[in-house]
Amino acid sequence: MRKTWISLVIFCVFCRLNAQNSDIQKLLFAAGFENVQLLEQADTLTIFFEHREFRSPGHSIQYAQLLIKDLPGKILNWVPIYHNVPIGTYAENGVHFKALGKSQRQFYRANNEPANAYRYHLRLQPDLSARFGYYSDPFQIKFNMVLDSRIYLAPGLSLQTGLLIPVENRLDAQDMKPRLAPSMLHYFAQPWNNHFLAASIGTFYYDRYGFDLQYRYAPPAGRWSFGLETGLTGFYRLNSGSFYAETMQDLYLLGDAEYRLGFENLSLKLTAGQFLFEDKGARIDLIKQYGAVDFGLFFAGTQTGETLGFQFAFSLLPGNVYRNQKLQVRTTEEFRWEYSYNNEELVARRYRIGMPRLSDNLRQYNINFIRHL
Amino acid sequence: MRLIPLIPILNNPMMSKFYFLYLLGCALVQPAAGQINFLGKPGVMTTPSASWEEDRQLGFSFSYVPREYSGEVMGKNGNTLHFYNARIGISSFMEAGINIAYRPLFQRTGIGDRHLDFRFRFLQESNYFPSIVLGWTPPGSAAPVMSHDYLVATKNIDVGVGRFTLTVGYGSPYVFPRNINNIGIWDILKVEDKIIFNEANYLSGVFGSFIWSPVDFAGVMIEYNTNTVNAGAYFKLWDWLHLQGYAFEGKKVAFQVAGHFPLDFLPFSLRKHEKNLD
Repeated sequence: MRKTWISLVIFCVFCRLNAQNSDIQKLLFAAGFENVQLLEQADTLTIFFEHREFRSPGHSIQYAQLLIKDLPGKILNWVPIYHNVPIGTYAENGVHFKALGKSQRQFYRANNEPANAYRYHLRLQPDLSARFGYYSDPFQIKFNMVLDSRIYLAPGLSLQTGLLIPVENRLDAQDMKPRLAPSMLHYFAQPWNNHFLAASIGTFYYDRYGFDLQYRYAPPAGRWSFGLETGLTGFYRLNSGSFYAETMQDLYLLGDAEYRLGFENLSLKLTAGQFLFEDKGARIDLIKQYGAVDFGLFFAGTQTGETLGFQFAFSLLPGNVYRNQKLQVRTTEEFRWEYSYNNEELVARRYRIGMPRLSDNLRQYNINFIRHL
Repeated sequence: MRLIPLIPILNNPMMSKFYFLYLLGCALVQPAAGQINFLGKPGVMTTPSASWEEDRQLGFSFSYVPREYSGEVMGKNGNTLHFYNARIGISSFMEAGINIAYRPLFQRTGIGDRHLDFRFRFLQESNYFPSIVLGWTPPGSAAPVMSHDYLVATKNIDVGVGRFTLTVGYGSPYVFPRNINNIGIWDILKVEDKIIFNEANYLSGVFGSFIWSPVDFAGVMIEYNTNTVNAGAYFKLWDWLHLQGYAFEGKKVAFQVAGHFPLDFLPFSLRKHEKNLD
């Protein structure tokens, strides 16, 4: 009889905890968090989540903490997921970083269901290119609105595709008919802790198509990070439904080293190698992270010439437009624009793949940045 | 500098209210910055100052300079000038600014002359010492008509009838245009006398300005830019929107409009949620 009572009590406690856990899952999912997994250990609760609306996991951790407030007797650990890949543990309310342990990886692998864990996202992403200063037309602007989506196919593997609607084009001869947005198959992985890999194949921005590969060593608790980027691409254009493409023979290969200065969220980055259009040279960046906004100044010197400019990146307002259980309509998590003083010569050019580059993204996961958010 | 140690407190939602009160306190005791000159740099009218915008790192401004005096501030000219300016505070000691000088009445004008420069703060204002700022334009432009290199000091003094802001600075009398006929890397730049190159004596030598702000939202000001003596008034409509009107030598009217915005805000959904909690 006593045994029955004890097991009944244990069962009740277990049920309560489970109920509490599924409540947390529901609460976070309703607020835009996806792929929410809860791993309960002795005195800690580890919450795996992906939040695609914010750029910085620091903000999503802050948001989640406000939502679930305090769990008595539990220490909360957060594991942000990016493109279906967990990055690491942000322990004790995001103050300390720990690399993923074996048990966490196993738990995630067992519970990760890319096909069911996500809403269908419709993302609004403006695409702006411009050339300033010609006497005939001082503002040559090409502005497109991209409505695209990312569909997770397998762990780390996703397809990004959508529709591109031209709004204005005074820059080149491309027509104004809606066409397929840059579409790519993308694979992201963290094969060993702190080592990140991203591969894309498909059509990209800046009229490129082909293959792109990025590798980055970026410990979120460290100051240094190193990266390699390479791509083999060619020019392509969709015009009146016809597809024109030049051979895929333009190789770019860049190595970079980035150092976080440790105060006021400033980073210095030196990139060298062969840029797009077989332009060999180097570029130095000073990057400031304000929180939701990044701003950077750069100087580049290559065989083609020298240039100086700035770039900024931020999440477009208002973020979430509409959200239900199956669907979310939102504005892009990162709109990036770069201005180069030298607009005649193509100095140190690169192309955008349609999602943040590894270096730009992993900078948001640095514990030093999250701590000072 | 004073704000930095308190920033981690923001992570705690309870403490953020105290932080807000603290900020409010700062706003009451700190001199209200935000006045800028026609190039969008902290300053007044046509002269820069050593003021520093702490909380609103991003600034946009438009300014109008009448034809009769455009040659005095931007050499070899004689045209009405419209300036479109942006400024961004990258750290507590470094700020970058860009300008576009547009001549609306000029036939072949494009978007106008572009200009980039930096400000570096060496000393933060304290009870007894002024703030000191170095303004620097990267050399090597083909037409450095907007180049200014200067060292400037600014001190705010609270007096019974409001606040006095005193600024004294020294502008470099040289410009460094690109040497088109260079043969090596060592002669890429030329050194030219600024007054001869620009055919105008502007910001080369000792300059200064004086503001009297009897109330927080408005004040009157006078300046000497090494060429002309100008006077005017400013008015702060909101914390983020400032207007300035002045007259060159009391003869021709010029004005500017400036907006200042913070960059360390939270994402929209998070702000909305925090608001609902309050």
